[in-house]
Amino acid sequence: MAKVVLENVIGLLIFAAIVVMIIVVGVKVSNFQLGDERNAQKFLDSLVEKMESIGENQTGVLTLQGVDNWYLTGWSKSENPEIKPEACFLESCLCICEGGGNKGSCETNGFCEEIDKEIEIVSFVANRAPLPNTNENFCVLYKDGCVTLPKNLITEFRVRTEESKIVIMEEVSVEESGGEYIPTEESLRKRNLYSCWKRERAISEIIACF
Amino acid sequence: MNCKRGELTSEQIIVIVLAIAGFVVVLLFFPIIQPLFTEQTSDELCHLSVITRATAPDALQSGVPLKCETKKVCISESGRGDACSQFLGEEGVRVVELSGSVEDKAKVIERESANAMYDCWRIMGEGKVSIFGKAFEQFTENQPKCVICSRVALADDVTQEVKNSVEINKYLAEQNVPGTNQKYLEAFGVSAYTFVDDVEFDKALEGIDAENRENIVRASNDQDQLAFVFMQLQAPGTIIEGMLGGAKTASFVLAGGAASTGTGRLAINPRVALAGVIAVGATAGFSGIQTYRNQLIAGAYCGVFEGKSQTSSGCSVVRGMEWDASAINHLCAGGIEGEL
Repeated sequence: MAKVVLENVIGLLIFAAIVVMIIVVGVKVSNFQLGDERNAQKFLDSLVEKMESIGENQTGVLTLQGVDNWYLTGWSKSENPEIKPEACFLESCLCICEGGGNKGSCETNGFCEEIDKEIEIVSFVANRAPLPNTNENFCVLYKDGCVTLPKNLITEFRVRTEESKIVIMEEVSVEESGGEYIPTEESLRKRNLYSCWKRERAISEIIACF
Repeated sequence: MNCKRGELTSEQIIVIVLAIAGFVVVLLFFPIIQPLFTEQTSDELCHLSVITRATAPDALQSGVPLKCETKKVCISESGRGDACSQFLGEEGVRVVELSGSVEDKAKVIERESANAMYDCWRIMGEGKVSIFGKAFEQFTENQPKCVICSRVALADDVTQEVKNSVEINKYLAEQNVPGTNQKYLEAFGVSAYTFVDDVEFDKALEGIDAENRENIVRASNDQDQLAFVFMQLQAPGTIIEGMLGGAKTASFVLAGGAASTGTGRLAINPRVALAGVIAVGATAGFSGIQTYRNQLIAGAYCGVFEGKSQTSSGCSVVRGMEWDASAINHLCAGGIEGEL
Protein backbone atom coordinates (compact mmCIF):
# COMPACT_ATOMS: atom_id res chain seq x y z
CA MET A 1 0.00 0.00 0.00
CA ALA A 2 2.85 2.38 0.81
CA LYS A 3 4.29 1.77 -2.62
CA VAL A 4 0.96 2.58 -4.24
CA VAL A 5 0.71 5.80 -2.26
CA LEU A 6 4.26 6.80 -3.18
CA GLU A 7 3.75 6.14 -6.86
CA ASN A 8 0.59 8.21 -6.87
CA VAL A 9 2.22 11.14 -5.09
CA ILE A 10 5.16 11.15 -7.48
CA GLY A 11 2.81 10.98 -10.41
CA LEU A 12 0.77 13.87 -9.07
CA LEU A 13 3.86 16.00 -8.51
CA ILE A 14 5.15 15.36 -12.01
CA PHE A 15 1.75 16.19 -13.45
CA ALA A 16 1.60 19.43 -11.45
CA ALA A 17 5.11 20.41 -12.57
CA ILE A 18 4.21 19.86 -16.23
CA VAL A 19 1.04 21.94 -15.88
CA VAL A 20 2.98 24.78 -14.25
CA MET A 21 5.62 24.70 -16.98
CA ILE A 22 2.95 24.84 -19.68
CA ILE A 23 1.33 27.83 -17.99
CA VAL A 24 4.66 29.66 -17.60
CA VAL A 25 5.64 29.10 -21.23
CA GLY A 26 2.21 30.14 -22.40
CA VAL A 27 2.35 33.36 -20.41
CA LYS A 28 5.83 34.19 -21.68
CA VAL A 29 4.83 33.62 -25.29
CA SER A 30 1.72 35.77 -24.95
CA ASN A 31 3.73 38.54 -23.27
CA PHE A 32 6.27 38.55 -26.08
CA GLN A 33 3.64 38.79 -28.77
CA LEU A 34 1.47 41.44 -27.15
CA GLY A 35 4.17 43.62 -25.57
CA ASP A 36 2.85 47.01 -26.70
CA GLU A 37 -0.75 46.17 -25.89
CA ARG A 38 0.22 44.92 -22.49
CA ASN A 39 2.24 48.09 -21.87
CA ALA A 40 -0.67 50.23 -22.99
CA GLN A 41 -3.08 48.49 -20.64
CA LYS A 42 -0.57 48.81 -17.87
CA PHE A 43 -0.14 52.52 -18.64
CA LEU A 44 -3.86 53.14 -18.30
CA ASP A 45 -4.20 51.08 -15.12
CA SER A 46 -1.22 52.85 -13.59
CA LEU A 47 -2.51 56.31 -14.53
CA VAL A 48 -5.95 55.68 -13.06
CA GLU A 49 -4.47 54.25 -9.89
CA LYS A 50 -2.17 57.24 -9.44
CA MET A 51 -4.99 59.68 -10.15
CA GLU A 52 -6.98 58.19 -7.32
CA SER A 53 -4.23 59.07 -4.88
CA ILE A 54 -4.61 62.79 -5.57
CA GLY A 55 -6.91 64.51 -3.11
CA GLU A 56 -9.80 66.72 -4.14
CA ASN A 57 -8.90 70.23 -5.26
CA GLN A 58 -5.26 69.23 -5.46
CA THR A 59 -2.79 69.00 -8.31
CA GLY A 60 -0.21 66.27 -8.60
CA VAL A 61 2.52 65.44 -11.12
CA LEU A 62 2.38 61.85 -12.33
CA THR A 63 5.22 60.10 -14.17
CA LEU A 64 4.68 57.25 -16.60
CA GLN A 65 6.47 55.54 -19.46
CA GLY A 66 5.10 56.11 -22.93
CA VAL A 67 4.09 53.52 -25.52
CA ASP A 68 4.88 54.15 -29.16
CA ASN A 69 1.93 55.03 -31.44
CA TRP A 70 -0.58 54.95 -28.60
CA TYR A 71 -2.58 57.99 -27.53
CA LEU A 72 -4.23 58.96 -24.28
CA THR A 73 -7.69 60.41 -24.72
CA GLY A 74 -10.95 60.68 -22.86
CA TRP A 75 -14.59 61.63 -23.01
CA SER A 76 -16.93 63.13 -20.47
CA LYS A 77 -20.33 61.77 -19.56
CA SER A 78 -21.91 64.99 -20.81
CA GLU A 79 -20.53 64.62 -24.33
CA ASN A 80 -22.56 63.39 -27.26
CA PRO A 81 -22.50 59.57 -27.09
CA GLU A 82 -22.16 59.35 -30.84
CA ILE A 83 -18.62 60.71 -30.79
CA LYS A 84 -17.57 58.34 -28.04
CA PRO A 85 -16.46 54.71 -28.35
CA GLU A 86 -18.95 52.09 -27.22
CA ALA A 87 -17.04 51.43 -24.02
CA CYS A 88 -17.74 55.04 -22.95
CA PHE A 89 -21.24 55.35 -24.29
CA LEU A 90 -23.00 56.55 -21.15
CA GLU A 91 -20.16 57.38 -18.80
CA SER A 92 -16.98 59.43 -18.60
CA CYS A 93 -13.96 57.42 -19.51
CA LEU A 94 -10.24 57.56 -20.01
CA CYS A 95 -8.86 55.60 -22.95
CA ILE A 96 -5.53 54.63 -24.44
CA CYS A 97 -5.81 53.84 -28.13
CA GLU A 98 -3.50 52.73 -30.89
CA GLY A 99 -2.98 54.98 -33.88
CA GLY A 100 -5.09 57.96 -32.85
CA GLY A 101 -7.21 59.65 -30.23
CA ASN A 102 -10.61 59.39 -31.87
CA LYS A 103 -13.55 57.05 -31.59
CA GLY A 104 -12.49 54.90 -34.53
CA SER A 105 -9.01 54.24 -33.23
CA CYS A 106 -10.28 53.42 -29.77
CA GLU A 107 -12.84 50.98 -31.08
CA THR A 108 -10.30 49.29 -33.34
CA ASN A 109 -7.66 48.78 -30.70
CA GLY A 110 -7.88 50.53 -27.36
CA PHE A 111 -8.51 50.17 -23.70
CA CYS A 112 -10.94 52.32 -21.76
CA GLU A 113 -11.72 52.74 -18.12
CA GLU A 114 -14.78 54.43 -16.68
CA ILE A 115 -14.21 57.47 -14.51
CA ASP A 116 -16.84 58.83 -12.14
CA LYS A 117 -16.13 62.51 -12.91
CA GLU A 118 -16.05 64.65 -16.01
CA ILE A 119 -12.77 64.36 -17.89
CA GLU A 120 -10.79 67.10 -19.55
CA ILE A 121 -7.45 66.49 -21.26
CA VAL A 122 -5.39 69.53 -22.04
CA SER A 123 -2.10 70.02 -23.77
CA PHE A 124 -0.32 73.27 -23.23
CA VAL A 125 2.64 74.76 -24.94
CA ALA A 126 4.66 76.74 -22.48
CA ASN A 127 6.77 79.73 -23.18
CA ARG A 128 8.28 80.29 -19.82
CA ALA A 129 9.84 83.61 -20.69
CA PRO A 130 7.91 86.57 -19.33
CA LEU A 131 5.57 88.53 -21.56
CA PRO A 132 6.84 92.00 -22.51
CA ASN A 133 6.22 94.61 -19.84
CA THR A 134 5.02 91.99 -17.40
CA ASN A 135 6.58 89.55 -15.04
CA GLU A 136 4.29 86.75 -16.06
CA ASN A 137 5.18 83.74 -18.13
CA PHE A 138 2.54 82.60 -20.52
CA CYS A 139 1.24 79.26 -21.68
CA VAL A 140 -0.90 78.45 -24.68
CA LEU A 141 -3.62 76.07 -23.68
CA TYR A 142 -4.77 73.71 -26.36
CA LYS A 143 -7.73 71.69 -25.29
CA ASP A 144 -7.65 68.87 -27.72
CA GLY A 145 -8.44 66.01 -25.41
CA CYS A 146 -5.58 63.86 -26.59
CA VAL A 147 -1.98 63.20 -25.62
CA THR A 148 0.66 61.62 -27.82
CA LEU A 149 2.72 59.16 -25.84
CA PRO A 150 6.47 59.12 -26.58
CA LYS A 151 8.01 55.76 -27.34
CA ASN A 152 9.85 54.41 -24.32
CA LEU A 153 10.34 57.87 -22.89
CA ILE A 154 9.05 59.64 -19.82
CA THR A 155 5.62 61.23 -19.90
CA GLU A 156 4.62 63.57 -17.12
CA PHE A 157 1.11 64.77 -16.48
CA ARG A 158 -0.23 67.33 -14.10
CA VAL A 159 -3.55 66.08 -12.81
CA ARG A 160 -5.95 68.40 -11.03
CA THR A 161 -8.96 66.90 -9.31
CA GLU A 162 -11.98 69.08 -8.72
CA GLU A 163 -15.31 68.24 -7.17
CA SER A 164 -16.89 67.09 -10.40
CA LYS A 165 -14.02 67.10 -12.87
CA ILE A 166 -10.56 65.69 -13.44
CA VAL A 167 -8.20 67.70 -15.61
CA ILE A 168 -5.17 65.98 -17.10
CA MET A 169 -2.59 68.45 -18.35
CA GLU A 170 0.40 67.67 -20.48
CA GLU A 171 3.12 70.21 -21.14
CA VAL A 172 4.33 70.10 -24.71
CA SER A 173 7.49 71.78 -25.91
CA VAL A 174 7.38 74.13 -28.83
CA GLU A 175 9.22 71.53 -30.90
CA GLU A 176 6.71 68.84 -30.02
CA SER A 177 3.82 71.10 -30.98
CA GLY A 178 5.15 71.38 -34.49
CA GLY A 179 7.34 74.39 -33.90
CA GLU A 180 4.47 76.73 -33.15
CA TYR A 181 3.07 78.09 -29.92
CA ILE A 182 -0.38 77.83 -31.46
CA PRO A 183 -0.15 74.70 -33.58
CA THR A 184 -1.60 74.65 -37.04
CA GLU A 185 -2.63 71.59 -38.98
CA GLU A 186 0.40 72.01 -41.20
CA SER A 187 2.84 72.28 -38.33
CA LEU A 188 1.35 69.25 -36.63
CA ARG A 189 1.35 67.14 -39.77
CA LYS A 190 5.00 68.02 -40.23
CA ARG A 191 5.75 66.46 -36.85
CA ASN A 192 3.35 63.57 -37.37
CA LEU A 193 1.22 64.72 -34.46
CA TYR A 194 -1.99 65.39 -36.32
CA SER A 195 -3.70 62.10 -35.57
CA CYS A 196 -3.80 63.04 -31.91
CA TRP A 197 -4.42 66.75 -32.06
CA LYS A 198 -7.34 66.63 -34.45
CA ARG A 199 -10.40 66.94 -32.25
CA GLU A 200 -13.53 68.93 -32.84
CA ARG A 201 -13.43 70.84 -29.62
CA ALA A 202 -9.87 72.13 -29.95
CA ILE A 203 -9.57 75.53 -28.37
CA SER A 204 -6.49 77.60 -27.79
CA GLU A 205 -6.14 80.41 -25.31
CA ILE A 206 -3.27 82.15 -23.68
CA ILE A 207 -3.08 81.90 -19.93
CA ALA A 208 -0.61 82.61 -17.22
CA CYS A 209 1.55 79.55 -16.65
CA PHE A 210 1.15 77.48 -13.52
CA MET B 1 -11.10 -6.01 -2.88
CA ASN B 2 -14.12 -5.40 -5.04
CA CYS B 3 -13.78 -2.18 -7.06
CA LYS B 4 -15.87 -0.96 -9.86
CA ARG B 5 -13.86 -0.04 -12.91
CA GLY B 6 -13.06 3.70 -12.89
CA GLU B 7 -13.85 4.09 -9.19
CA LEU B 8 -11.26 5.83 -7.07
CA THR B 9 -9.79 3.76 -4.32
CA SER B 10 -9.57 5.12 -0.80
CA GLU B 11 -5.80 5.35 -1.14
CA GLN B 12 -6.08 7.51 -4.23
CA ILE B 13 -8.55 9.84 -2.58
CA ILE B 14 -6.28 10.27 0.42
CA VAL B 15 -3.30 11.07 -1.79
CA ILE B 16 -5.22 13.64 -3.82
CA VAL B 17 -6.57 15.35 -0.72
CA LEU B 18 -3.10 15.46 0.88
CA ALA B 19 -1.55 16.89 -2.27
CA ILE B 20 -4.17 19.64 -2.55
CA ALA B 21 -3.89 20.44 1.15
CA GLY B 22 -0.11 20.73 0.90
CA PHE B 23 -0.40 23.04 -2.09
CA VAL B 24 -2.86 25.27 -0.24
CA VAL B 25 -0.54 25.51 2.77
CA VAL B 26 2.36 26.60 0.55
CA LEU B 27 0.15 29.22 -1.11
CA LEU B 28 -0.87 30.59 2.29
CA PHE B 29 2.69 31.08 3.47
CA PHE B 30 4.13 32.38 0.19
CA PRO B 31 3.01 36.05 0.60
CA ILE B 32 4.67 36.10 4.02
CA ILE B 33 7.99 34.75 2.84
CA GLN B 34 8.27 36.55 -0.47
CA PRO B 35 8.62 40.19 0.81
CA LEU B 36 11.69 39.21 2.82
CA PHE B 37 13.55 38.65 -0.43
CA THR B 38 11.87 41.25 -2.64
CA GLU B 39 14.53 43.95 -2.54
CA GLN B 40 17.38 41.59 -3.17
CA THR B 41 15.41 39.73 -5.75
CA SER B 42 14.57 42.83 -7.80
CA ASP B 43 18.24 43.85 -8.05
CA GLU B 44 19.28 40.35 -8.91
CA LEU B 45 16.47 40.01 -11.43
CA CYS B 46 17.59 43.20 -13.10
CA HIS B 47 21.23 42.15 -13.15
CA LEU B 48 20.33 38.73 -14.49
CA SER B 49 18.28 40.26 -17.29
CA VAL B 50 21.19 42.59 -18.13
CA ILE B 51 23.60 39.68 -18.41
CA THR B 52 21.09 37.57 -20.33
CA ARG B 53 20.60 40.33 -22.87
CA ALA B 54 24.30 41.10 -23.11
CA THR B 55 25.19 37.49 -23.85
CA ALA B 56 22.34 36.91 -26.30
CA PRO B 57 23.15 36.92 -30.04
CA ASP B 58 23.01 40.44 -31.49
CA ALA B 59 19.88 39.75 -33.51
CA LEU B 60 17.99 38.59 -30.43
CA GLN B 61 19.11 41.18 -27.91
CA SER B 62 16.12 43.45 -28.36
CA GLY B 63 13.81 40.50 -27.69
CA VAL B 64 15.18 40.05 -24.18
CA PRO B 65 13.37 42.47 -21.85
CA LEU B 66 15.25 44.26 -19.09
CA LYS B 67 13.52 43.45 -15.83
CA CYS B 68 14.68 46.60 -14.09
CA GLU B 69 12.38 48.82 -12.08
CA THR B 70 13.26 52.35 -11.05
CA LYS B 71 13.80 52.49 -7.32
CA LYS B 72 12.30 55.43 -5.45
CA VAL B 73 13.90 56.75 -2.28
CA CYS B 74 12.31 59.46 -0.15
CA ILE B 75 14.60 61.14 2.36
CA SER B 76 12.81 63.11 5.05
CA GLU B 77 12.96 64.27 8.64
CA SER B 78 9.58 62.81 9.48
CA GLY B 79 10.09 59.37 7.98
CA ARG B 80 6.50 59.38 6.77
CA GLY B 81 5.61 57.29 3.77
CA ASP B 82 3.95 60.24 2.00
CA ALA B 83 6.61 62.81 2.89
CA CYS B 84 7.83 63.24 -0.67
CA SER B 85 5.25 64.84 -2.93
CA GLN B 86 7.53 63.98 -5.82
CA PHE B 87 6.35 60.39 -5.52
CA LEU B 88 2.63 61.04 -5.39
CA GLY B 89 0.79 57.95 -6.50
CA GLU B 90 3.95 55.87 -6.72
CA GLU B 91 4.28 52.48 -5.10
CA GLY B 92 7.28 50.84 -3.51
CA VAL B 93 8.82 54.07 -2.19
CA ARG B 94 11.59 53.40 0.32
CA VAL B 95 11.60 55.95 3.12
CA VAL B 96 14.80 57.08 4.80
CA GLU B 97 14.44 59.05 8.00
CA LEU B 98 17.02 61.66 8.94
CA SER B 99 18.11 62.01 12.51
CA GLY B 100 21.00 63.37 14.55
CA SER B 101 23.11 66.42 13.82
CA VAL B 102 23.22 68.35 10.56
CA GLU B 103 26.40 66.50 9.62
CA ASP B 104 24.79 63.14 10.36
CA LYS B 105 21.83 63.99 8.15
CA ALA B 106 24.05 65.18 5.34
CA LYS B 107 25.99 61.93 5.58
CA VAL B 108 22.78 59.96 5.14
CA ILE B 109 21.94 61.88 1.97
CA GLU B 110 25.46 61.37 0.67
CA ARG B 111 25.35 57.67 1.47
CA GLU B 112 22.00 57.11 -0.20
CA SER B 113 23.14 58.96 -3.31
CA ALA B 114 26.47 57.14 -3.48
CA ASN B 115 24.81 53.77 -3.05
CA ALA B 116 22.17 54.57 -5.65
CA MET B 117 24.91 55.40 -8.11
CA TYR B 118 27.09 52.43 -7.23
CA ASP B 119 24.22 49.93 -7.31
CA CYS B 120 23.23 51.24 -10.73
CA TRP B 121 26.76 50.81 -12.04
CA ARG B 122 27.14 47.32 -10.58
CA ILE B 123 23.76 46.03 -11.73
CA MET B 124 24.31 47.30 -15.27
CA GLY B 125 27.54 45.33 -15.50
CA GLU B 126 29.84 48.30 -14.74
CA GLY B 127 29.25 49.49 -18.24
CA LYS B 128 31.37 46.76 -19.77
CA VAL B 129 28.56 44.77 -21.35
CA SER B 130 26.55 45.80 -24.35
CA ILE B 131 22.95 46.10 -23.27
CA PHE B 132 21.15 47.99 -25.94
CA GLY B 133 21.50 45.92 -29.04
CA LYS B 134 23.65 45.82 -32.08
CA ALA B 135 25.27 49.09 -33.07
CA PHE B 136 23.79 50.92 -35.96
CA GLU B 137 25.92 50.99 -39.02
CA GLN B 138 25.76 54.75 -39.25
CA PHE B 139 27.26 56.33 -36.18
CA THR B 140 25.20 59.49 -36.54
CA GLU B 141 22.03 57.48 -36.16
CA ASN B 142 23.11 56.04 -32.88
CA GLN B 143 21.62 57.65 -29.86
CA PRO B 144 22.18 56.98 -26.18
CA LYS B 145 19.79 54.60 -24.52
CA CYS B 146 19.15 54.60 -20.82
CA VAL B 147 17.89 52.85 -17.77
CA ILE B 148 16.74 55.04 -14.90
CA CYS B 149 17.98 53.08 -11.92
CA SER B 150 16.84 55.29 -9.06
CA ARG B 151 15.06 58.47 -8.12
CA VAL B 152 16.15 60.06 -4.87
CA ALA B 153 14.00 62.85 -3.52
CA LEU B 154 14.30 65.17 -0.54
CA ALA B 155 11.10 65.97 1.29
CA ASP B 156 10.10 69.55 2.04
CA ASP B 157 11.00 69.13 5.70
CA VAL B 158 14.72 68.68 4.96
CA THR B 159 16.30 71.95 5.99
CA GLN B 160 18.46 74.15 3.81
CA GLU B 161 21.25 73.85 6.35
CA VAL B 162 21.34 70.10 5.82
CA LYS B 163 21.24 70.47 2.04
CA ASN B 164 24.13 72.93 2.08
CA SER B 165 26.22 70.45 4.05
CA VAL B 166 25.99 67.67 1.49
CA GLU B 167 29.27 66.97 -0.32
CA ILE B 168 28.73 63.90 -2.34
CA ASN B 169 31.95 64.01 -4.36
CA LYS B 170 33.95 64.05 -1.16
CA TYR B 171 31.93 61.09 0.06
CA LEU B 172 32.64 59.19 -3.15
CA ALA B 173 36.34 59.94 -2.86
CA GLU B 174 36.74 59.10 0.81
CA GLN B 175 34.29 56.37 1.63
CA ASN B 176 34.53 52.70 0.84
CA VAL B 177 31.84 50.78 -0.90
CA PRO B 178 30.11 48.79 1.87
CA GLY B 179 31.74 45.43 2.37
CA THR B 180 34.84 46.29 0.34
CA ASN B 181 38.17 48.09 0.66
CA GLN B 182 37.50 50.05 -2.50
CA LYS B 183 36.54 53.69 -2.60
CA TYR B 184 33.43 54.54 -4.60
CA LEU B 185 35.49 56.52 -7.09
CA GLU B 186 37.77 53.57 -7.71
CA ALA B 187 34.75 51.33 -8.21
CA PHE B 188 33.63 53.71 -10.96
CA GLY B 189 37.02 53.46 -12.61
CA VAL B 190 37.92 57.02 -11.71
CA SER B 191 41.31 57.57 -10.14
CA ALA B 192 41.00 61.31 -9.84
CA TYR B 193 38.62 64.03 -10.74
CA THR B 194 39.20 67.60 -11.64
CA PHE B 195 37.24 70.51 -10.39
CA VAL B 196 36.94 73.34 -12.82
CA ASP B 197 35.48 76.71 -12.09
CA ASP B 198 32.78 78.35 -14.11
CA VAL B 199 35.17 80.32 -16.29
CA GLU B 200 37.05 77.23 -17.35
CA PHE B 201 33.84 75.34 -17.98
CA ASP B 202 32.46 78.11 -20.18
CA LYS B 203 35.71 78.09 -22.13
CA ALA B 204 35.43 74.34 -22.62
CA LEU B 205 31.91 74.79 -23.93
CA GLU B 206 33.07 77.46 -26.36
CA GLY B 207 35.55 75.00 -27.77
CA ILE B 208 32.72 72.74 -28.88
CA ASP B 209 31.49 73.38 -32.37
CA ALA B 210 28.05 74.82 -32.93
CA GLU B 211 26.48 71.63 -34.20
CA ASN B 212 27.49 69.66 -31.16
CA ARG B 213 26.59 72.46 -28.82
CA GLU B 214 22.99 71.86 -29.76
CA ASN B 215 23.25 68.67 -27.79
CA ILE B 216 23.79 70.56 -24.59
CA VAL B 217 20.84 69.72 -22.42
CA ARG B 218 20.01 71.92 -19.50
CA ALA B 219 18.09 70.08 -16.88
CA SER B 220 16.09 71.96 -14.34
CA ASN B 221 13.40 71.29 -11.83
CA ASP B 222 12.19 72.62 -8.53
CA GLN B 223 11.44 69.27 -7.00
CA ASP B 224 14.65 68.46 -5.08
CA GLN B 225 14.84 65.18 -6.85
CA LEU B 226 17.70 63.42 -8.56
CA ALA B 227 17.62 60.62 -11.09
CA PHE B 228 20.50 58.15 -11.29
CA VAL B 229 20.69 57.22 -14.93
CA PHE B 230 22.70 54.61 -16.76
CA MET B 231 23.40 55.60 -20.36
CA GLN B 232 25.05 53.61 -23.08
CA LEU B 233 26.06 54.54 -26.56
CA GLN B 234 27.49 52.13 -29.07
CA ALA B 235 29.98 53.38 -31.58
CA PRO B 236 32.52 52.01 -34.03
CA GLY B 237 35.95 51.40 -32.53
CA THR B 238 37.63 54.30 -34.28
CA ILE B 239 35.33 56.74 -32.57
CA ILE B 240 36.42 55.54 -29.16
CA GLU B 241 39.95 56.81 -29.66
CA GLY B 242 38.64 60.28 -30.18
CA MET B 243 36.38 60.05 -27.19
CA LEU B 244 39.16 59.00 -24.89
CA GLY B 245 41.39 61.82 -26.03
CA GLY B 246 40.16 64.20 -23.39
CA ALA B 247 37.77 67.03 -23.06
CA LYS B 248 39.27 69.27 -25.66
CA THR B 249 39.86 66.76 -28.40
CA ALA B 250 36.63 64.90 -27.93
CA SER B 251 33.49 66.31 -29.37
CA PHE B 252 31.50 65.96 -26.22
CA VAL B 253 32.04 66.24 -22.55
CA LEU B 254 29.99 64.86 -19.75
CA ALA B 255 29.67 67.55 -17.17
CA GLY B 256 28.28 67.23 -13.74
CA GLY B 257 27.08 70.66 -12.88
CA ALA B 258 25.78 74.03 -13.80
CA ALA B 259 27.32 76.44 -16.19
CA SER B 260 27.65 80.17 -15.78
CA THR B 261 26.28 80.12 -12.33
CA GLY B 262 28.67 82.49 -10.73
CA THR B 263 28.48 80.22 -7.73
CA GLY B 264 29.06 76.53 -7.23
CA ARG B 265 31.67 74.44 -8.88
CA LEU B 266 31.84 71.84 -11.56
CA ALA B 267 33.43 68.47 -11.72
CA ILE B 268 34.57 67.28 -15.11
CA ASN B 269 36.61 64.19 -15.56
CA PRO B 270 38.74 64.98 -18.59
CA ARG B 271 39.23 61.30 -19.28
CA VAL B 272 35.55 60.72 -19.74
CA ALA B 273 33.74 61.60 -22.91
CA LEU B 274 30.40 60.41 -24.11
CA ALA B 275 29.58 61.13 -27.71
CA GLY B 276 26.17 62.46 -28.37
CA VAL B 277 25.10 64.46 -25.38
CA ILE B 278 26.12 66.80 -22.69
CA ALA B 279 24.17 66.99 -19.48
CA VAL B 280 24.40 70.25 -17.69
CA GLY B 281 22.37 71.06 -14.64
CA ALA B 282 20.64 74.37 -14.89
CA THR B 283 20.50 76.88 -12.12
CA ALA B 284 17.07 78.31 -12.54
CA GLY B 285 14.24 76.75 -10.66
CA PHE B 286 16.24 74.43 -8.48
CA SER B 287 15.58 74.85 -4.85
CA GLY B 288 19.13 75.42 -3.87
CA ILE B 289 21.07 72.27 -3.24
CA GLN B 290 24.00 73.80 -5.04
CA THR B 291 26.62 71.65 -3.48
CA TYR B 292 24.62 68.50 -3.82
CA ARG B 293 23.67 68.91 -7.42
CA ASN B 294 26.44 70.80 -9.08
CA GLN B 295 29.22 68.49 -8.16
CA LEU B 296 27.89 65.12 -9.11
CA ILE B 297 30.51 63.28 -11.09
CA ALA B 298 29.96 60.35 -13.34
CA GLY B 299 31.26 56.84 -13.52
CA ALA B 300 32.15 55.78 -17.01
CA TYR B 301 33.67 53.18 -19.23
CA CYS B 302 34.64 53.57 -22.87
CA GLY B 303 35.99 50.69 -24.85
CA VAL B 304 35.22 47.29 -26.24
CA PHE B 305 32.28 45.55 -24.65
CA GLU B 306 33.05 42.23 -23.05
CA GLY B 307 32.00 39.09 -24.80
CA LYS B 308 31.52 40.84 -28.11
CA SER B 309 33.58 41.22 -31.23
CA GLN B 310 36.19 43.96 -31.50
CA THR B 311 33.75 46.05 -33.53
CA SER B 312 31.32 46.28 -30.65
CA SER B 313 32.45 49.17 -28.54
CA GLY B 314 31.09 52.30 -27.04
CA CYS B 315 30.70 54.24 -23.84
CA SER B 316 28.66 53.63 -20.73
CA VAL B 317 28.04 56.24 -18.08
CA VAL B 318 26.22 56.35 -14.80
CA ARG B 319 25.42 59.71 -13.33
CA GLY B 320 23.03 61.60 -11.19
CA MET B 321 21.09 64.45 -12.69
CA GLU B 322 18.15 66.61 -11.88
CA TRP B 323 14.82 64.92 -12.43
CA ASP B 324 13.72 66.81 -15.49
CA ALA B 325 11.64 64.60 -17.79
CA SER B 326 12.28 66.71 -20.85
CA ALA B 327 16.04 66.78 -20.30
CA ILE B 328 16.22 63.06 -19.57
CA ASN B 329 14.18 62.29 -22.68
CA HIS B 330 16.53 64.46 -24.69
CA LEU B 331 19.60 62.76 -23.28
CA CYS B 332 18.12 59.30 -23.71
CA ALA B 333 16.83 59.93 -27.20
CA GLY B 334 17.33 56.29 -28.09
CA GLY B 335 14.79 55.26 -25.47
CA ILE B 336 14.47 54.39 -21.82
CA GLU B 337 14.20 50.75 -20.86
CA GLY B 338 13.03 49.10 -17.69
CA GLU B 339 10.01 50.23 -15.72
CA LEU B 340 9.69 53.69 -14.24
